[in-house]
Amino acid sequence: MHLTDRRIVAFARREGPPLVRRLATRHLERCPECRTRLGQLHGIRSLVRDATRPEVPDRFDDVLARLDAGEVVLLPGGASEDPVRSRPIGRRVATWIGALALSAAGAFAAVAVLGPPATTTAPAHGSSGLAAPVADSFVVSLDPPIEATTVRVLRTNGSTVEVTATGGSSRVRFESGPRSIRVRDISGGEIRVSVPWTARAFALRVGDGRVIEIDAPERLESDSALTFELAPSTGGAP
Amino acid sequence: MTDPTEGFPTSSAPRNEAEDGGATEDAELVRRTLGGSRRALGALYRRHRHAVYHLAYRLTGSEQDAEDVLQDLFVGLPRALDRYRERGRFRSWLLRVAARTALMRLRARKAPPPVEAPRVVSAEADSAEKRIVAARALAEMSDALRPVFVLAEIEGYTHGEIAEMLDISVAASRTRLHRAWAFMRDRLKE
Repeated sequence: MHLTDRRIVAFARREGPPLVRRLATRHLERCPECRTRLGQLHGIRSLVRDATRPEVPDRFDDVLARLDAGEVVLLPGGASEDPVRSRPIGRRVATWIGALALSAAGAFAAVAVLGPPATTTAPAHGSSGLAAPVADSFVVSLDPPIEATTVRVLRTNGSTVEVTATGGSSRVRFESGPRSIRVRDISGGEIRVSVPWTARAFALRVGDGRVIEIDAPERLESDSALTFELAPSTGGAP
Repeated sequence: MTDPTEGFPTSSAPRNEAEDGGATEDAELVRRTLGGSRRALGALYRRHRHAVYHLAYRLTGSEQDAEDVLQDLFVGLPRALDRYRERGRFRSWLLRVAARTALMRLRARKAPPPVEAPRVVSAEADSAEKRIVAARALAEMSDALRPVFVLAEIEGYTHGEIAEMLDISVAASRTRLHRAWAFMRDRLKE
């Protein structure tokens, strides 16, 4: 009778109740095979650690260049009790609150298009750092019809884009990617859209063809609110 | 290149913290960085870049991702230091933030990067080959298992800490570690 693999791993990690550990210790004293397995485990751990220490380039100048360009990166929390756990890691919320009126004509689609950053300095991303969605339009399409929808914008420090919907009793299913998000099965409430940190201009295109353009303030702080109202459609595209 | 500042223990020992002298120096550099000193930020970068880079590399399996994480971390650090409340050592806090940043990157990417042959510095062919096999094995491990293996066995986190960082249960963390070990043993058996 030998120690199981799980028991060996737990022993190596000094986990488990003291009695179990004492029994495992006694077994290891008598069992060369299990001692060999324990030794192999330590050996693999050391080998993997040594094998995954590539040379580290010193590119602090690139860090300075990005800071000089005014780039802002929001980092996730570092403490286990950090309240970031109450919301997705690494994201902060900038809130748009708008009431979107449905066109009576049928399907409604809201499209958020993110423009390039307002500054014209050299791209801050360089060959590393944030992906470059701000260099391209970014489209969020919302299907199917949504009534009295609010839109919230989450800040993100990466290229991840997610859309969630809350409100009412429905959760949304969505497919996200670097360029577009398609949201489905929304029955109402608010839609959250993650946007790149450096997004400066937003536009919403509603299903009846109207386009609402919004300029973000210079510094979009967490939980700040941008409000806009969309008057009921008077019919016809602008 | 050896890393004089990296001192990660095995997971069977408490995580290695900076010496008291190092912790004092970190505290001073943090204070000056909060005051806007780029020089202090640079000093923090040079003190901790190996540890951060190696952690990010192990988690993501990609040197490009590791470099991006290192850069993002220090671009964001001046602002993030507002949240560092000096509970525990700075390095522990920094590595935890680095791990979360790397994990975010892992979640964001659509496909794993091509497995990279690490730049091996050993002069001995046998040990070099073993290192390559080990590094490849880690890189080829699935994105679900690799973070648990790295955080548990290389970085010395407990299952409770890993569960919180990965937003999984403690039981799931244990199970994934078990599977990761089975994968690693299979890849490294002679």
